[in-house]
Amino acid sequence: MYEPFKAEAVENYAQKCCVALVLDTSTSMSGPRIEQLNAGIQSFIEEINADQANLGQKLEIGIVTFDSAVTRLCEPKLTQSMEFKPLTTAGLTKMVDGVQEGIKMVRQRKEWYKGTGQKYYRPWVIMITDGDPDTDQLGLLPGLAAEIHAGMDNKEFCFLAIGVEGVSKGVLQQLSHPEIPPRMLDGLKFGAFFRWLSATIADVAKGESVSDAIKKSSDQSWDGGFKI
Amino acid sequence: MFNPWHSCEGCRRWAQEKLALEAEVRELTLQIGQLKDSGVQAIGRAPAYPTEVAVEVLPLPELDGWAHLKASVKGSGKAELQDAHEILTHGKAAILIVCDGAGSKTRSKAGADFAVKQLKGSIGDFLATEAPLGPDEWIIKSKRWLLDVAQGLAQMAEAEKQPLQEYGCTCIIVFANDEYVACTHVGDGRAGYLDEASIWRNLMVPYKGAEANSTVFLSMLTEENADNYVRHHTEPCRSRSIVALSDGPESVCWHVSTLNQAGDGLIDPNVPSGVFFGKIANQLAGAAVQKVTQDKLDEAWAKFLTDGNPQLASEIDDKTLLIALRG
Repeated sequence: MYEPFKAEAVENYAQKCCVALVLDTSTSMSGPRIEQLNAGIQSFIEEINADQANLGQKLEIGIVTFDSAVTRLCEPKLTQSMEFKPLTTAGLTKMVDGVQEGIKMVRQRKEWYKGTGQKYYRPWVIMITDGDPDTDQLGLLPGLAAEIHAGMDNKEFCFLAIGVEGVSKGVLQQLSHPEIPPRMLDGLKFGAFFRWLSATIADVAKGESVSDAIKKSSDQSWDGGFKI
Repeated sequence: MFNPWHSCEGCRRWAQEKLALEAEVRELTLQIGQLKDSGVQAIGRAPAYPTEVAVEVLPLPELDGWAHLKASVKGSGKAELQDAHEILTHGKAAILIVCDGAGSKTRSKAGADFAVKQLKGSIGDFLATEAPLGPDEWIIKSKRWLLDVAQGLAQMAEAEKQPLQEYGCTCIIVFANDEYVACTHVGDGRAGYLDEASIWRNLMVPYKGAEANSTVFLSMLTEENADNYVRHHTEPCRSRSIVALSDGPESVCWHVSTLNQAGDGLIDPNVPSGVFFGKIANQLAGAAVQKVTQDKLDEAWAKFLTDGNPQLASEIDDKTLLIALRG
């Protein structure tokens, strides 16, 4: 075969995709759960770092934790400049406040992209939890669900709820939009989940519909099925 | 060694200089902190605004007509190829057609194939008449051709009982003869030409929304909105080379996101890479001199678009890149 063509790629600034990980760090996540979650996030960061031709230049990860308080542990940034410190657990489950902070984070990042002239992909808010929201948060659930559904309908952000064993499935169902139904983690397969997540985000970033990309990824071994 | 508490002149001066230096360091540290907060620093490493690069392309005095490269290859993240393309040459004229089916639409490949086939027929038939086609006529004719395609897509959707939007695809048509180059397009992608000073220039501004992957499609086109959705550009010159591409390979061969000229924000400068296209045009010119067959060229070009460099290999979107070159 005639093979004469060779040319290096131009250097361009990559379009960004912001992902806010909203993570439950309440006491119920103690022990192997938080250990596996920490290991999964660390592998996720390393995997993206290794893909500097694509996701490493595009994906900006922010981390919000919720227990008795909500903490912005890490503002959105490329993984190569992230210093991930393992999460620790304590306290209760301010789930609604945590998700709202995640939504606020991606909204602020979108404004920053616009202000600095950057193109961006639809951002993601991803919640991982194993519990029920605190009782004082229950009354806030309908408002949060409405905000998430409107955000999804308006293509403002994608919201994905991941439950770990023991979670209130009804709450995840209530919050989630039909386009991205809630999912349950099989055991503690956080590593497989984060591998699936990076592949799915990459597909969506290139124009795949969210509902198709979620079903398409080959490795769904982390999915424990979601039945109420 | 100086003693800062010593009362001699040398030690006093040393102590003063040290204090001044410490103040300067504090001030610089403060400024760096402010820069970080301003967002400019937070953008991180971004390429500078591209400079014009003149690249000589091997003269081809013996080449009769146009040499060309054409291929559409599936992106690594796609289940099926949704791009389509065609190249037509007729005497001194060359036409490039690129259609990019919307990733999320179920019948977008059918829409892209239909658009390319119909445009090939319409434009080919017109060129065969040898009727004059000046820049003003190009604008009128090309808009009509695209409206006819949109009408055809609507009929196709009706016949197949599918929503029209499922046939969504973008379209770029680039034209060159001895008098001018022109581009008519709906949606995104890129098009460009080599000017008479050997500088590659753009021929269109892609239609893009605030978010990536948001654009307009042929399926949205109507008689009423055509003046908003169909964009034209013409340049009087005898160009030796024209290019057209879908958005898949654009970040590989086009400056699409760099710092602005002031260096304080990002923009899409929309500048074809002279280095990239200069290399490819010269490699094509070399192949034309060697009289490599079109089949072999197209095969090699498809291979290049598939994995010719790490960025092309990792590109998830479909990649179509057409280039025509003459002497």
